[in-house]
Amino acid sequence: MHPGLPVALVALGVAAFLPPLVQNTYVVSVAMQVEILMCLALGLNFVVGLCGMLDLGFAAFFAIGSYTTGLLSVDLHWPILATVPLAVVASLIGAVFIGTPTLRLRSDYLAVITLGFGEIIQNIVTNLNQTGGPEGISGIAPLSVAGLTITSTAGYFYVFLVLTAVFTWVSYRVRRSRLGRAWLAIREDEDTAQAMGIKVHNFKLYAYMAGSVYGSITGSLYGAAFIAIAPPSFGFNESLLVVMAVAMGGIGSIWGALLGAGVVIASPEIFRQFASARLLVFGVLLVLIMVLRPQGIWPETGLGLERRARSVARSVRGFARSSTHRSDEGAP
Amino acid sequence: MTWTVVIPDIVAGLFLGAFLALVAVGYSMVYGILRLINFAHGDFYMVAAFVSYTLLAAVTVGTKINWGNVVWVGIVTMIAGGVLAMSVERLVYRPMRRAAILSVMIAALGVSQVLENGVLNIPAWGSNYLPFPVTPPSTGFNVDGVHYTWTQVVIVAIAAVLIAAVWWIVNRTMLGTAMRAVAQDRAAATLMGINTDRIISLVFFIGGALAGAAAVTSSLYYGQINYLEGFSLGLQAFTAAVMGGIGNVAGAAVGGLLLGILESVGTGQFGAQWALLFAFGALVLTLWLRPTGLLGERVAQRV
Amino acid sequence: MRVMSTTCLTGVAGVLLAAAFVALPSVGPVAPAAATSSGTYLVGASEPMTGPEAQAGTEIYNGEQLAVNKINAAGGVLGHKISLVEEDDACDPQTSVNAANKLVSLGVQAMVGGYCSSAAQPAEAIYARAGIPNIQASANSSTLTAAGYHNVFLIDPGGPVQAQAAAGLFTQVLKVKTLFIADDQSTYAVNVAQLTAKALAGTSVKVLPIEAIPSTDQDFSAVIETVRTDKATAIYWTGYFAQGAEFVRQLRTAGITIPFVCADGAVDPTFIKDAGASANGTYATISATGSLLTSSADKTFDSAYASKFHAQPGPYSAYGYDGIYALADAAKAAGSLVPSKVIKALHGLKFAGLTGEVYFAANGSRLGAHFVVLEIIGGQYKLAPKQPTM
Repeated sequence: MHPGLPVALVALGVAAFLPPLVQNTYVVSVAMQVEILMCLALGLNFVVGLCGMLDLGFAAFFAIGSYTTGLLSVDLHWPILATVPLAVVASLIGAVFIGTPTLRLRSDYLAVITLGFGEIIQNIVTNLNQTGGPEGISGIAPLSVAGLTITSTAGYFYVFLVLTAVFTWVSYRVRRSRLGRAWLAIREDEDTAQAMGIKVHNFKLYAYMAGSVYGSITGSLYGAAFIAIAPPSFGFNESLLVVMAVAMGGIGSIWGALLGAGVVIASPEIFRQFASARLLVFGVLLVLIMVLRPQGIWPETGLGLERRARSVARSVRGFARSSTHRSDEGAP
Repeated sequence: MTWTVVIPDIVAGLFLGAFLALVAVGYSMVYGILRLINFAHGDFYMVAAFVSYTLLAAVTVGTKINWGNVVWVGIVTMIAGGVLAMSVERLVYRPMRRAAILSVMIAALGVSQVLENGVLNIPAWGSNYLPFPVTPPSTGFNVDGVHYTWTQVVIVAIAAVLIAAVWWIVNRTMLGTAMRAVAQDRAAATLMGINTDRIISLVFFIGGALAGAAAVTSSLYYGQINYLEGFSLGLQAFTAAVMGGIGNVAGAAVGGLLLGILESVGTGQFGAQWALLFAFGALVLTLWLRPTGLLGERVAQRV
Repeated sequence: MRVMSTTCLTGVAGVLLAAAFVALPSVGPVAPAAATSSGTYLVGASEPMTGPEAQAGTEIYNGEQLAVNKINAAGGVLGHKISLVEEDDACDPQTSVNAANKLVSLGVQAMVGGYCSSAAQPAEAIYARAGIPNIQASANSSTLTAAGYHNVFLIDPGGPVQAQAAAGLFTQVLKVKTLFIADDQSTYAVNVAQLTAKALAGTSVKVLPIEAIPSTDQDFSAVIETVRTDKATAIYWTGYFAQGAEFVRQLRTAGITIPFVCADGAVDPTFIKDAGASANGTYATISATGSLLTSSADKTFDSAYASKFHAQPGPYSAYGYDGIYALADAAKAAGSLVPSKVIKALHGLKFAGLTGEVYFAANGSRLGAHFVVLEIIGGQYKLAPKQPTM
């Protein structure tokens, strides 16, 4: 049994009791949004964290998933769950279409192209009448699972909790699989990986595709949870939020992605007391965290608590030793 | 696509591209020397615009334009922009020299938020679109029924002179050689006796000063400033820099002009809402056909 | 074994930290008790306070604040002083949902505010579940009334009425041959643009394809070129004032003198300031409201706003003002602050507000608003000499 499993189960258990414990829709709603960003961050983690590619347009897959589900639900009255496979297929097509010619580029150029892809998708959904134009799509049906129709905030909190748990488990398994190991190899040293026989370009594409799957599934359920979707939610700002979550949490680390998502969503909410300065405070927090702990709050190498504990123990021992020495020597 | 319609669009695009080029050169130089996409660069431009607004508002009486005021305010603004950029580098980026570049990018995002929301919360500035205190005259000349103003010509000339000066510094002086050395291989440059910290500060100063120049000229021309105008411009400038070949002064300038033209022609041919799409499509095409950008250098990289 | 327990420990610590972090927003200043017990009428105001629409949000909030001050000075609502609680919705659906939940958890008895329709939509369900009046000062997309909630009231009459006024202006007064309509891709502007085009279908006015100009665009040279080549004889701008000012400035600099008409989103003293001399001679369609007209109520609103906030009211400040008065008058008519009774009273309410007569259709949309045409003469908004008949 993996050492982290009891922890994960405890976390899940605690989270499951959040709505009845807190009895506050606002907290549950924020928690749900944290979960949504967690899912997106886990997806981006494949691309940026495990494979080392800078993707600044991740919101594109989120948009593809949301709009596919939105259109099928409102125009053709498909049940939400039935739209998810189609949304995934649509985003996979997008990933392959953009990924194939561009993933061989240097990271900075890749950054701009992925940024461009994100902008292009947002631009298209804003301008086409079929996607509702700037107003977006409203009246998306709620999610129905096994005869149960979910309409409350707490309900969607649980939906996204399940999704986060599933995504986390899959990420964990993938990371330990051959696929994950290949990605890590590529991240550490592309040339050596290539020399070892890993078809670097193909694996990069797989990472991009894996991320797109996570993004689109999250997008599909997002539409059901919020009833209405509009273009501003799918732009560069959204992509940046996901990048922020991954980088602040710790690049490549699963716990890091989850924690980063929590900080990114919860901070502006906590700072509501500052009224119009709340984003200013958030910006300062962001800078402080990155300057003081650039590897992220919970990087792959762990929280570093062990090392810190050991160094504290060492200095305590040293202090104790020096004080006993002093009494031996009798020096003032 | 009738050519008579496209030509005025191209000229208009050249003009828009002049601003983009000024900001793109700064973006590109910072990127070249630190490999950092400085998301806060557009906000240096924005803060500089507000500084110039405050200064000009303080000294302007009535509506008669005093060119002397404009000039010295412009210079002060350029210095202010440079100082701001240098300070951010010293406070935020320098402590992160050894960190993963993604972390530095996020810190840059944080700086961007601080600058934008800082301006938002200063009572004298705030969220409104503030009218620039000085309006340039609209006297000019007509070509083919389209009216062009002398102000536009002067602005393009200023941008050209500044960019040429920077190009000269980077490519024809010892200082520039040092900059290019640091950009190529920081460790080796240090071994060669170059004070890399000072060089990097200087590069940031130049980038910030160029952003300041762009701020004064565009605020003068467009007549209004707003606390969110920097981010979008910064993004476009970054795109332009990449399109032209990142890390390269001439490339950034060409990229800026080209992006301006693409946006303008795109608006004319397809409508303003498709302009950005058109520009990004062109960008993707450019990078596909020429992965290092139009004037990109063959920089040794991890294959 | 030791490694495992440390990991477990850190894991648990991290999770508890995260849980505490998320739960923290609920631990805040203790919310004032609900109205009837403590003597205050707690009213929420969800506005954009950050982001590109922050200015609009501030203007609406200020209008509301002015109304609140006036009502409180006269003794409040049924003896209770109104206390406005503002929350940022950033014109974003997710932030708006959080703002709505936050307000509801604070125990507000009503919500008056709102600028963006896309942000207002998901929040509707939350106010409806809480059973409190949801009075939208400015958001007015038809999707807001389509959901069928009985607690939604729109103060801003929106598209159809304005489109009629605009159509009348173009056909009767300006007698336009070819009309160029441009919007800024915001829901409201697109709505007005499309409705105006529809209203002009079948008339002698030829409407060119609507130009959607992203709200961040500052450079209109290419658009102006299109205006020239399409030989437009008038322009209708349905976006906000800052871009509008930029547009008309560059238009006049380019030597194009055709009539320039704005929808009410561009009616703001900042338009005159930013556009300078180019503002003179432009028209605007707006609901008969203050800041520009001659009724004494409007003048008092103007001067009160200016003296308190050291700025001119914005295009939608009056809607915020009327929104608060609608709530207060309904509560007085119901003789109670209980939300369900106030909602019922709102449905039957009718009073003379700054924006015209205020009463609502069964689905909550605004009736009684009456649009006029303004002209900027000598750097001031004045009622246009020739008004279209509607």
